Amino acid sequence: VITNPKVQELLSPLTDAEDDLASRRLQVDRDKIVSRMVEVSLTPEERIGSRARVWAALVLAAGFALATWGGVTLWRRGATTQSGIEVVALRGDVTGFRGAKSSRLSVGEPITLSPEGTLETSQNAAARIKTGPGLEIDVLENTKVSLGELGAGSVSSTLRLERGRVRCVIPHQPGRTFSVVTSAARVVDVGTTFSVSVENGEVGPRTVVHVEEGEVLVQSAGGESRLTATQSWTSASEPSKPAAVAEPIDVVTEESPSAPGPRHEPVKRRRETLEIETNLLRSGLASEQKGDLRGAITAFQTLVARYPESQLAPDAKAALSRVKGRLESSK
Amino acid sequence: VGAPKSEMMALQPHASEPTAPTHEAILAGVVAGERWAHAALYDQLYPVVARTLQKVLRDSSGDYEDLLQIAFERIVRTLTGERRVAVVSLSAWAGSIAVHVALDALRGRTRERRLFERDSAASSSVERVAAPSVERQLEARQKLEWLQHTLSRMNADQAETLLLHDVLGHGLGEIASIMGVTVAAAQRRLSRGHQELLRRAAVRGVRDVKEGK
Repeated sequence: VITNPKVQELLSPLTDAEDDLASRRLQVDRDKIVSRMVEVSLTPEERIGSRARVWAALVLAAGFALATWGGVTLWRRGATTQSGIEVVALRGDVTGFRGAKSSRLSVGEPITLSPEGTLETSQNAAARIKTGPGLEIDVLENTKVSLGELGAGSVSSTLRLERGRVRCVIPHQPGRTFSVVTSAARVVDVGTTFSVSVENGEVGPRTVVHVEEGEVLVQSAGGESRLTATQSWTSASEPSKPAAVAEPIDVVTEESPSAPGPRHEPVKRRRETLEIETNLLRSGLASEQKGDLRGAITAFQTLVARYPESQLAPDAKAALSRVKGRLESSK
Repeated sequence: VGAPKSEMMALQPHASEPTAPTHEAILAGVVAGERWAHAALYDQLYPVVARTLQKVLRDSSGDYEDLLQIAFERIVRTLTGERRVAVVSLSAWAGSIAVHVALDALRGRTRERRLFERDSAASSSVERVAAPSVERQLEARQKLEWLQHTLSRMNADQAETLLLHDVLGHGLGEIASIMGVTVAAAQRRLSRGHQELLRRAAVRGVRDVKEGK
């Protein structure tokens, strides 16, 4: 293409000038720009267009006006996708963590959480997350959950509740299980709506389970309890420790009188020791079969720690060693 | 045996000699969020991004570093986003992103200028009473400002094509690849860009005559 001389003349202010890259390079903070590039590539919510930013600003402005006017709580729903862990509603300060990196989630932006991450809500904040198979979980205020095992594709999904309260609406899907794990218990869903909270007691945190609809199975150091609609279960207070894996603790299936919130008839199931031991071994084997290796380890460890003289202890130790090996190799 | 020493050395490179990462390795590293890959990408694309920004914007205004950062953010977003693009020539593609950033900056300046039109008119009257040597510089400055203003008001695709072809020296085939259109479409955009530039220059000429400049 031969450019018209008149066009060339008009463009001459740009084409005739000399480049001055060397002196400019000294003025640029390379590390700062590279850091920002890394940040952008690791932050999904940054990947939004100008239109999304405008929408986010409008939604925030509308939310502020509504809150000032009538103290109305603002919830905004975003789009859902077929896979991954999606934040579909937000209120207040909610922070997503991935390794050492944290990012504050904002209303109006489509957010897909990293499966390796954790989610933390502050006071008066909440987030509703949804996974591919239709699990819907409300992460309520002052709550921290680990999303590592909340995989959309696996047969069993697990949400680790480190502190605070979650409410779960779980569609019944044969062959698929969902559990909430705290340091004191594993709450296995059987297709229901329930909430689990880790509350601060005098001695330490305790786990409270409340079933709204359907039925759940609570597995704790003392064995299993089956809860149906309107029933609650409370663990003993336990010393503070990381909630990654449930450790063996004393079994208390009686409701704590100081526990806040509505309480219903607790499930009291006095079992013979052998029955508890059998159940723990069976539970561990079932978890292992489902691929829930951490759950299996918890069950086997509980059996070995609580009942070292049990006839089943050698089997539990062998299974524990096997599952730990599998877990290591999977890492 | 019998090969010159230099050839022997070429056949047996020193084991500790660092090798530059390949394009594929850098892009994979960027997608994985690895810092070394971002640094390598920056070093590789800095010349073309910086040159493009300078070519289009010319002056050393305070927002140069910000624009450079914006350009690299867009590059990373596009490479790691859900709607990733298939990049044939990374360097040319980065240049087109820098053109986008520069045109956006020019549009922003145009908007600002509209807000302060009265101040601008006052300064141009001061300019006209300056000394002849200074007047030439001012004239060049005004030509540049007019061109940048015109580019910022033109159809974005036409302005981008015009800059990539006439200012940055890319061929039509390369521009078609960068912009995801056919060569014929790129040529049409270029041709219309030229016509639009000439039309606006003609309008300006008439206005200057009317104003007695």
